[in-house]
Order: sequence, then C-alpha cells, then structure tokens
Amino acid sequence: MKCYEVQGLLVGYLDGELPEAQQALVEAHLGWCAACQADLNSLSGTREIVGLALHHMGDPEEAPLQAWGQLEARLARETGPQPARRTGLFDKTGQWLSGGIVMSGRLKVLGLTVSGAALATALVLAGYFFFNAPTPVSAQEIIQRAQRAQAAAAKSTGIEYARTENYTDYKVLSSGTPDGTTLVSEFYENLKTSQFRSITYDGANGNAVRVFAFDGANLYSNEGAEGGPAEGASPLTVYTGAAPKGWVENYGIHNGPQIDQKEYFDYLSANPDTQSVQQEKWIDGRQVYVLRSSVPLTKFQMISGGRKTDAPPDDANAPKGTSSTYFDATTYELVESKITAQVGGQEVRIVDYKVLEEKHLPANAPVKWDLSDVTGIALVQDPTGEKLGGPWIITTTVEDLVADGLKVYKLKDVPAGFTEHVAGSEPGAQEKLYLIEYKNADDGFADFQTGHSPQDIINNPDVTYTTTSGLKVYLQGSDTPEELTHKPFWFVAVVAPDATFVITSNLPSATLKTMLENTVEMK
Amino acid sequence: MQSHKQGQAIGREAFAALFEQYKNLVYKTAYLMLGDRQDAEEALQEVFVLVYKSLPGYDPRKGAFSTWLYRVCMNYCLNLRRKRRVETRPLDDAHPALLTGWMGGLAEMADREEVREAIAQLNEDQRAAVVLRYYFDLSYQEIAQILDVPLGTVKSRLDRSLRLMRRLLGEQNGAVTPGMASKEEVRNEML
Repeated sequence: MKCYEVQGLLVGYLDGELPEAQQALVEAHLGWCAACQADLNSLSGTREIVGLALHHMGDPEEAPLQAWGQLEARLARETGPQPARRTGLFDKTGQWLSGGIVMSGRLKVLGLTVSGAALATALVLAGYFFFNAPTPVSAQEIIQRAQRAQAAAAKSTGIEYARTENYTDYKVLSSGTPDGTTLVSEFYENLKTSQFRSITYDGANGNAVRVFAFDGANLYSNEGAEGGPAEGASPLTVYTGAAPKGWVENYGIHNGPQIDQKEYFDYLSANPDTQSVQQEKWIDGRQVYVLRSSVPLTKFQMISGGRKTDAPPDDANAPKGTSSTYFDATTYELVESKITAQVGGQEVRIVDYKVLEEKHLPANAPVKWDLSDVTGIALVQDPTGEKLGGPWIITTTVEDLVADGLKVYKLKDVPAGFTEHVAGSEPGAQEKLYLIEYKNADDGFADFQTGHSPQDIINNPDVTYTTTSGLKVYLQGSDTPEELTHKPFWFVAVVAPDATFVITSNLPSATLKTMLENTVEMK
Repeated sequence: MQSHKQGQAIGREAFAALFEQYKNLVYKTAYLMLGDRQDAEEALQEVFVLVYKSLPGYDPRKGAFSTWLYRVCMNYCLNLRRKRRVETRPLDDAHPALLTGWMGGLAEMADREEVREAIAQLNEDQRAAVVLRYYFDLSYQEIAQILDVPLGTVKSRLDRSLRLMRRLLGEQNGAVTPGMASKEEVRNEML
C-alpha cells in the first residue's frame, strides 16, 4: 500500500473500524514506514485530546430538572384543544383500530361511558394508548364521546357511570420484579346536559390524583399553569372557574355514528394477528370471550431501559408478550385489555386495563357535579380561567376569526343537506385556530381546520390535484367504506397561497372535490 | 393486511419513562452541538415534542430507537446551526500552534480553551460526526445511519476533522507531516 492510501485509513484504524483485510494491510505498512507511523502517533494524540475535551465539556451537563414539567405542559397544549365530535378512531389510511392509531391531537377518549370505555380499552390493545387516556390529564384535552355500542336506539338520557382500573408496570421487564402503579378512575356523565366528572385515584393510597369535571357552568381541573403542584400532592389542588362560552356545544356529548360492539368483536376476531378466541370466566364470574395475540415488547423494552450496548431492539428479535382482550360474552362490551410477558419463568403484567363496573343511572341520580362530596381535594377559584386549561375552542363567527388575524378558508355556500358550525380560538388567543364543521343528516361530515401539521399528508398523498382557483389539494385515505363505520375516510391537506389547512371527512372524494371547488378565503 | 406496527400512539406514563431514559442523551448532544445551555434546553424541548408527534412514524424494523432519536436530535441541531450560519473564524486567525512543545499530559491539554475553539472550527457535519464518535462512542455504521450518509463519508469526515484539529493545535511531540522524510530516515539514508 502506498503512504497516501494508508494515511486515509489511519483514523479508521485508530477507531477500530477497518475491515480485517484493510487493517492487516495498514499494520503491515506501518511496520516499515516511519512517516506513516509518526502520522498515526500524532493523530492518536489528537484523537485522545478531542475525546477528553468533549467529555470535559459534555459530562457535567445534564437535562434541567424542570424539563419534563415544561414538556408535558407544552404537549398538553399542542395536542389539546380541537374538539372532535366524531367517534371514529382511524389510522392514517382510515383503518379502524387495527392496532394502529394516529397520534392525532384531536382524538381523545374521555372514555368511561360504556362504549367509551370499550373504545379506550380497544386502544389499549397491544399497549397503544393516548397521551391522556384513559382519563384526562389535561384540562385542555378533547372530550371525545364514544357512542353507544348497542344497535338499538342510543340512550340519550340518564347518567352513565363507570369505574376502571389501569395498572402499568414498565420496570418489570428489566428488573424482573413487579413494581407497577394502579390508578382507579370513576366517571359520571349526564348524557343530556353534558355534565360530567372524572376522578382518578392512586390505587395505593386512595388519594385523588386527577380531576376533571363540568357541572353545567363551571369547569374543574387539577391541571394548572406550568409549574403547578406536583401530581400526587395531597390534598390535590383543583382549579375551578366558569367554562368558556359554548362549552357544551363544542365539547359536550353529541350523537353520532353508532359503533356496534359485536361488530367490533367480530372484526378483531377475524384479524390475522389474533391467535385464539376462547370463552372463559372473568374475575367477577361472568362469561367472557378472550382474544389473544402475540405482541412484540419492543416499546416496553425501550422504556424499561436498554443499555447502549444491548442489541438494537427490533420487533423480530424483541421478546414477545401476550395481548389479551376480554369481551362480555353476552353484550360484547370490552371489559379488560392487558399485555403480559414471561419474566423469570413467571407471567407478569405490563399493562392491565379493566372496566370494573358500568351502570346506567337515572337522570335524577344524586351526583355531585360540583365535587362537593370528594375528599382529598382543595378547590381554588380561577376567575380568569387560565389555570383550567385552554386555549379553548369557542363557537364564534367567521368575522371574528378574520378580525383576529386568521386566514379562514371555508365553503362559499353551505351545500344542500348540510349544516355549518363555526368554532375557533378565543379572540386574542396566542394559538390561533379554527374548526368549521359541515354535517349532513346521514352522519356525513367534513371538518375544515387549522392547527394541525399537514406535512405528512403532503409528503405521502394518495391523490393530489389543483382546484380551478389554485388550491393544491393532497388527500390520504380511501373511498372504500371502512369495516366498522361503513363510510370512507379522508385526511386532506389544502395548500393555498397564504395558508394551509386540513380537512377530515367521511364523505366520498367526489363530494370533497366539489366542496373544494366551492372553497374560498373569507375576507 | 396493513401492518399495525406503525401509527402507534403512546401513553403519558410511557412517554414520561421514555423521556427520563433519554433526556440526557438529547441534552448532551444538543449541548455539544450548539455549545450553549439555553440552546440545549430549548433543543431538548423541541426534540421531544418532535419525537412525541412522530413516534407513530418510528418503525422498529428500521433500526434502534436510540439511533432514530439521535437522528431527530442531530437534524434539529444541524438545521439550527445552518439557519444561524454560525460563523467559523477563518483558519488564519486560529491560535497558532500553541501546543508545540507542550510538556504536560494530554488531559490538561484537553482542558484548554484552545481545544474547544479548535472543535468550534469544524463545520456542522464534521462536528456531528466527531461528537457521535468521540463522545458517544457510536460505531461508524450507526453514525452513518444517524446522519444518513454512506459509511465512506463518515470515515472521511472523521479523518478530515482529526487532521484539521491536529493542524489547529499544532504539531506535538515532534510529529512530522507524512510525505516528508523524518530526521531518522534521512540519517539512515546518509549512513
């Protein structure tokens, strides 16, 4: 080898990264070439100095203590406030809960009504669950009402009650010793007035750890401004103040597409990933169907702490756990969803979500929506509402949105058979957004909204075109009706000269195309 | 059958655990790339917001989570540096070979401000490779994945970086530039 060839390889040689054959050649050359040996020596010194200097700079540095609190508050804000009045929980291609759920900030399940619990637990399938499930952490969370699962007429009066238990243990995979946390939640909701209360307790000591409620006029939330009291403090500080205008309209319960529980059960059973369906007895003695599948524990392994020297986790080589989903054998309501693994010869739980109790109470049942019967909490008035959460979506007008500086794109004329509802951020809000919903009598909808990152849609469209007025349209989804909603689903990004917005819709793409021809900027 | 591995959301407790595990990886990378604590703190936030939002897009089949995380972090830092067009002083203004004749140990030399300044002379891409290799001890293969460049590029970036640093820090311990005969060789030839 010539000197100049060897010189190019010396750093690789020092780093031990040369293929064996090259390494041998370099070593042979160094054996007789003093110049290259000298080059190597001085590079070696430089290399050592660089490493030492970097360690001197980097070793003392650590992430600041308040970083998590800051991040959490920010994520709660950013994945918060767009209300989704839809029950659909779709992944990017419109697949209904095939185990994959788009991390969309719009869709949250305040899921403790009967079917709400079912959907929330469906999300827990294979350990995939929302940032704030199963009960809201943040007051800015969208309240997604899951619909009644029964094909029979939806109950629209009365009070839904549910009690659930959520056990999580991410450490057991690496430590081998079970060390999980149990949270128990109680949820009441008046289906007609939208009053609700959700309280989560620490299973170990019974302290209230999360509270979110609406008594018809006021909101209650333990989420404060950044730097608020640590979770787990007792008594728990709960802020309260007037709900923003239009709260019920924008965040309350709405009737919508019915999802049949049995249909969902059949759909899951037919999923090729499901390995077995058995009938068993549940913890309360009732008969249940149990669907089991093998799941890679990749994510949990990551979380429970892989060392840098471990082989990179990948699904093929990751240890496998079992996902078990339990359905009531009579009503097909989802009662439990868990993920277990074999650790040290024992079966251990990593995630275990159970619906302990569900009841439908009469509308006049004495529920204290103002939390006056809840112990371990301290109510603090928040007249400005700043600690309750927000920014909120309120019912507003296009004029007000435009006056506040938003570029608002909507349909010029509301199509026959559709209603239009305009909502958006409060005037003067820091984060400006709008949500304009078009609905027809057949549960068809098209929601025009800002506040979402459309980049993924623009990067991976299924269809693109430009309207006659010059709007560039990117669609992701399909006209093929989905198995459970029997309707298409589309995510649409629309790029106008001075703004980009998103449309989510279950209308056929031909209808959307017509709508987009009729879309203008409001000035 | 649509793979169900993608498009996964993550729960709060899980994300908190993830953050706890990897926050220092991200913070230190950002600090070493950006050189400023405030910038690093901001980077920590921005990167994890990005991570949170794009976690559904992480495909475990494509590689380790840490690799993906390094990549998200590096992209953020590199973009930031490029946007700011961090001025690197022209080489002529660099400190002259201060360390010629340095009699102390390498560790003391490494502590000198001049070394930090020399590191600052590297361009972003070189700095990224140097940080990943000489601070985090990652393999060339992994660095190539993180920076999305061929293996050969990693090798040449590190080679250039060390040679540049050597030049900036000056000749040490009597090392000679290769291609020139050493005193010994000349003496041997003369005998």
